[in-house]
Amino acid sequence: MSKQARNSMAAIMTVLVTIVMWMTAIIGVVFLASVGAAIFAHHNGGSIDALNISITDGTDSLPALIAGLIGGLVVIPAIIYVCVLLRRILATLADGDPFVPENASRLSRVAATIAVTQLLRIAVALVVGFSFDHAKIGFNLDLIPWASVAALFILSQVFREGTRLRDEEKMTI
Amino acid sequence: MSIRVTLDRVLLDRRMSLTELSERVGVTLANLSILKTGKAKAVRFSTLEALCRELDCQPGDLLVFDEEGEEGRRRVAAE
Repeated sequence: MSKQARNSMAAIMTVLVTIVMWMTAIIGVVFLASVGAAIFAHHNGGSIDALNISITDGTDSLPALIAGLIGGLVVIPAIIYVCVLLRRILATLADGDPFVPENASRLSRVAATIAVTQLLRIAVALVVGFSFDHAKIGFNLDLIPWASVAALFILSQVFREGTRLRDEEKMTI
Repeated sequence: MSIRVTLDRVLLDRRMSLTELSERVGVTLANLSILKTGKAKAVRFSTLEALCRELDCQPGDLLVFDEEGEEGRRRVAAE
């Protein structure tokens, strides 16, 4: 890939990641505000299906709202954090030197963030579900995020090794 | 590393500057400095060949295995 193509690819990706980041922030604030308001008013609304968690209650939707609020409080900052890390990786790509040790740890952190949100998704469903007598717990075990976590951890190790080899090559006369 | 580069001594014997050597062997001055100061992690055979040709010497004249020296330096650093 030529330097110009690489730079324009990095620039396009940076713009996309930035858009996702800001949209998540804006939608997240609106979502959290509305869920918070609904809980505050003990509003009998429809079920909120955040994070693929559906907790339904025969009498009111409070468990679903609380699950949505906790889920949103975790997932929204997680998406923003992943976007920040991806932007930093893209910045090193645009600079023409992505094989730095920091990028290996950034990829690990992206993987860890996805893993934590997935675990919290299950934990929130269980905790909120068991906290309410009439709540029914239901969540889908999604294997795609876990496959992404594994792929990202492997990639970060590949990156670490690549960085080491690059350093060695740099100091080879 | 226990491998010590004695390029400075060979250059002194030949009365040749690092700049002149860099022009002759086609290796940048910065890279030759890395080699001379012992910061290099590896030397390509092609570089070694060019150095030996221009300095009229053997690889053994440029490189010395000095385990004692390295351990001694480490001991001093630890103390």
